[in-house]
Amino acid sequence: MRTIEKKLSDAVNRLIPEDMYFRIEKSVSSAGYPTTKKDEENYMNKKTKSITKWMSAAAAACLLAAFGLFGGIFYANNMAVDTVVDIDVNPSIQISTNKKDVVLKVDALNSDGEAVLDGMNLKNADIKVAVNAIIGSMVRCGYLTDADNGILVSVHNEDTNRALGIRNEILADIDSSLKENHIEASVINQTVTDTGAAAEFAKKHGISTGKAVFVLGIAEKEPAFNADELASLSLREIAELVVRYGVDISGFADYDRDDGVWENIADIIDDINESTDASIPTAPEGAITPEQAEQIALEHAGFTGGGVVYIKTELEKDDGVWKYEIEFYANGVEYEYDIDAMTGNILRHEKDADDGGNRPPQTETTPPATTTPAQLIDTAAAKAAALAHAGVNADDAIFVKAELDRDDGVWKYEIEFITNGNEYEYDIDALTGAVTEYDVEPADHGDGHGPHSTVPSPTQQAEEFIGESRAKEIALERAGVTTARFEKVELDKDDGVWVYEIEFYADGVEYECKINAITGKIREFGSEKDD
Amino acid sequence: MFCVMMLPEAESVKRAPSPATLEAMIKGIAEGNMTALHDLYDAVSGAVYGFALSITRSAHDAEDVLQETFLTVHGGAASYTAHGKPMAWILRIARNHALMHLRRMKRYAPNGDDSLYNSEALSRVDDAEERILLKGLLESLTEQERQIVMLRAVVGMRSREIAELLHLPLGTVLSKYSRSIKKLQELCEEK
Repeated sequence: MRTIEKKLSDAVNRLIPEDMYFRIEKSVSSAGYPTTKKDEENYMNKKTKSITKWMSAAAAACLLAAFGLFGGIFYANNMAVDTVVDIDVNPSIQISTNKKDVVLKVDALNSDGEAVLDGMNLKNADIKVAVNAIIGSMVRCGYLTDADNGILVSVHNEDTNRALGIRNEILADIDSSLKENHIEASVINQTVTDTGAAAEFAKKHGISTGKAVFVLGIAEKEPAFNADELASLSLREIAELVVRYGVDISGFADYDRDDGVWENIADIIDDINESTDASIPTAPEGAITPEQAEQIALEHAGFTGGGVVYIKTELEKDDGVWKYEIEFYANGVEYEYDIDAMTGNILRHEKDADDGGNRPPQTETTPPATTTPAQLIDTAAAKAAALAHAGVNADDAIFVKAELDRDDGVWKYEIEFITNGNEYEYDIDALTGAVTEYDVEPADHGDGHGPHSTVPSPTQQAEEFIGESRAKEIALERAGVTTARFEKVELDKDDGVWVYEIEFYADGVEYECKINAITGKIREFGSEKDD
Repeated sequence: MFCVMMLPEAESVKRAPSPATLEAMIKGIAEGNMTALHDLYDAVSGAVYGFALSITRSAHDAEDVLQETFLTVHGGAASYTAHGKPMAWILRIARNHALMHLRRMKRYAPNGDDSLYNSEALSRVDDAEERILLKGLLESLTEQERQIVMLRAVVGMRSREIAELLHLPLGTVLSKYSRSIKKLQELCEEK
């Protein structure tokens, strides 16, 4: 019967989708994947920069054309652009529709947008179908994978009511499309009726008109911002600034959630700061940068760089103190630092010297390859060493296993015993008698660890069982030998029956047998010539 | 009488390959060896996924964490220094990714739940008892209990190692583990 642990383990492994490795392999081999946190930042920066340069002349022309029509004469219901919808994530895409909400054209406003639109023909599709396809493609292309994403939807129409109506429809579409794809994203939306200045601005900066309107709106509210600078930022970065400086965008943009716009954006930003991007300083003016904090930690730890793997660099406010929590690995040791973000003082540092304490001094105790078990301590000595370490009286312990094993060239005894409701596991160096590993588990749970989990309480057991030495005698008797080297004496449950599993060598023959632990009857017996 | 007797293999919890083996794989990954990546995946994917699941309680997030952990391991393999604790390294990476997911979830969908996706994932598990166990694990245990059970049962860590990883006293790990297993066992017996 499988133990609970085994069942759980099997179950968890079955939960993993079969294509999981394929997915990993694919993402790993995709070119230019960042290798360290630093690289990742560089990578992100480059990506952001490339976006600022994205706009091709052709796309600019399209945009101009679209808005040239805007204030102009409508040629016909079907041919004239009635509504323009900008969708901005990283990719910027512009959908132009006629009065019947049929798509006239879809333009990519940057290279990311081109990737999203790749090969899609959405002309003459219903606006809803087009939005759904675009969101789906953004997900597939990996632009909408994180909860960090913000989507800016801008609906341009001269008629405010119509703009609002279309906006609501599109938002519902986006919402269901996101749900379909299991994506959480915050959708900021705005309706635009007058694009005169924004269109110019968009053209100048090579951004969507929607984004232009958004940026100009912010700049107007908060004179500290330069609209030109904002234009070059990603939507996410803009949102961060909005929150940090407390810009009220409720006048011109809206959210799809019930909560106030304010809270929602604050949530995104908080989240971004907390999770993915610790380098975004939300610390007050004058705080040191994460790089400086890392440098302080490195210097303190005595490294000059290189060979260091950063696990975490996180800015946190703890008891009113801004600090960086830094974790890194170097030279096989894990370091943890808390650095005061304002002063650069080291508040706390820890070096995980876990290797020193618990690991066996293997290099010193490893017997040479030629060592034979004859030079090793005997089972009794190994048991005594384990008992001494556990502080358990020999009379209170019931040994369920005492096995000589060779692991990575090191001879060791694996000793297991039960006492006071606990199971002890020990690895004893067979050359030195030193405890190299140990573990304690409660033995009282029903289906616990390993095969001997339903061991009765020690006292009960002690009375009922014949004991190890009697079992050994029986085994020797059966083999017709008087002395032997015991390799294993283990109390185990076999088909619901308690047995001693015994392995021993005598006169070059290896014997294995199972003896009923209560009756002393031999259940199985076998031998094999030792070679 | 030279007969060979086969003793049935004592069934015990599968432990991850030895640290040395894992470190050899990580070294291979650093050298760009995709087979090593696959080997490591075979060796620890269950552990990473299980651990992530115990933190996020979401099969969907656990998949993401598994993928992200391997990306981080892949990226960090070259600068990983062998120190005998590769599993702890991998699990720490996994935990960080899992915590990020958790934070995001708290922010974005405090009342959201992945039960739909979870039940879809659970439907991949044919064995009814296994399903009950997983459901029990996700729904009836506390976060700490889940982590301890996963680390012990699926990752194959020893209680002492779990205590170290989770910064808990050994006694807490022992008692919580036995309590959790009892709970799960009762759930199984109810059905």
